[in-house]
Amino acid sequence: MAKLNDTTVPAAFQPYLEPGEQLKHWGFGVKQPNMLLMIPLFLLGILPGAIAVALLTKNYVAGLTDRRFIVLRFSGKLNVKEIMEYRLNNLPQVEASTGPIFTVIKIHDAQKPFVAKFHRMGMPNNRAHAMAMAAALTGK
Amino acid sequence: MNAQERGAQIAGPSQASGIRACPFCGAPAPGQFCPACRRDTTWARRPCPRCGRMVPSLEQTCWSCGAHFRSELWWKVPLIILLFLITFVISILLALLK
Repeated sequence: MAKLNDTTVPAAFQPYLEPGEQLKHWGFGVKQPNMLLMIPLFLLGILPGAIAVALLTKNYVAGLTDRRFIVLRFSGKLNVKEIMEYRLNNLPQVEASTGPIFTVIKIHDAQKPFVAKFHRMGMPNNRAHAMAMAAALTGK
Repeated sequence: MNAQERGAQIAGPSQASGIRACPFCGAPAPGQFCPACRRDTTWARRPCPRCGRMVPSLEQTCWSCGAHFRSELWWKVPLIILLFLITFVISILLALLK
């Protein structure tokens, strides 16, 4: 896993920003496999189950700019595998919730649905950034 | 306030500044669709592992170099099955040794 902080994550977004676009908030999130898959995997064996869940978990860094909400799916040392973007002036329905540990952002887009949970310990300032992104996307 | 008004409020006046380039072909694309390659510039995309060009995630072959994309599960699922088999064999051996 790459070292994620307020230097490396904004740097990962730089190649995907448009001219004059400014990154405002960023955060590290994960999407774990379905609970109906995770429970049998852990019941079969704790250690292989944990490894299987880790292998099937998708890692994201999400960034909010003055124009777009950009999501980078990555593996290893911020090796970008997929890029998704949502224009803020054409934003689909967004759901966000914040609990004591996680902030969950869910985007209901037919072509590129996105859901990820941002753990407060994911990276330094992850909770503050995730809550700011959730507030900006939902308008609350 | 609906989603579009909310987005416009967040986006602000800087939306119009700068010239956007199509992520797939690099041609100037001020709108949602690229006038050169006709693709939707907001599509989910991934870099081709062979040539590095951006390819829509929906497409299974790189339009630039012809590389074929495989799901990452092609090596993860066999590895997971192997891990469980090894665990099963080890637990049987341990039971027999007792």
